[in-house]
Amino acid sequence: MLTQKIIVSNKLGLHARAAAKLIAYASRYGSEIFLIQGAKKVNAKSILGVMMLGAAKGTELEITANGEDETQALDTIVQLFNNKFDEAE
Amino acid sequence: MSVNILLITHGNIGQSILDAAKETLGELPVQTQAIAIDHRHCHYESLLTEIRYRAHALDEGDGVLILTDIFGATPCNLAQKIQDEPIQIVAGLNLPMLLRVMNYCYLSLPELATVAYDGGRNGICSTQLHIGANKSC
Repeated sequence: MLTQKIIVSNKLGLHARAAAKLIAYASRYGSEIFLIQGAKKVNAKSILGVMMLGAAKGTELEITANGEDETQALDTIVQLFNNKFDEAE
Repeated sequence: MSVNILLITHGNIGQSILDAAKETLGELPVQTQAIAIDHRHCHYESLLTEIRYRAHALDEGDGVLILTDIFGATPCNLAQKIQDEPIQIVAGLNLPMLLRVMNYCYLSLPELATVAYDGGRNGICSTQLHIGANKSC
């Protein structure tokens, strides 16, 4: 299992469209992918789970990926966060 | 094949929620339609005929999940009259419910009805009371 911490850096945080994009990307992989914020742990392939984090800009999240394609999955998700979901600021 | 979705609500509530889901997700993974019920201007029997027709048209063999806005009101009561199609009805439609249904649209009709029910309930949070946002989704 791989883990990496990231900071939500896009202006609007994990809002609905960003969450939908995250789910679409995460669902490409067979690995189990979770987002962890403090005591909250949600399935990164569940739009409602991701949105219930209520993660605003500046929130620290830990991403875990576990499965055969965990390396690619984690890289993709981290890149998505780092690219601010390709949103204009 | 897949389960398709029919929203039956007072006025344009269903269409508005459907538009918001499309705005969020882009193209929806299953056929989803909305019927606006305005009993002041429509005859009960003609509404029932339209719902029956739309449910039949949406059924590709795996059934139709009908989401209505409130239990006990005309949209839900009309939906319950449909007995000749494989349908399940969940009342209390909200945007979290519809988004979650789209997220798990590959499931069977009974499973998807459960997903809708859970999504609708778990989508309700109070930021002041700090309740609701820790639920498993």
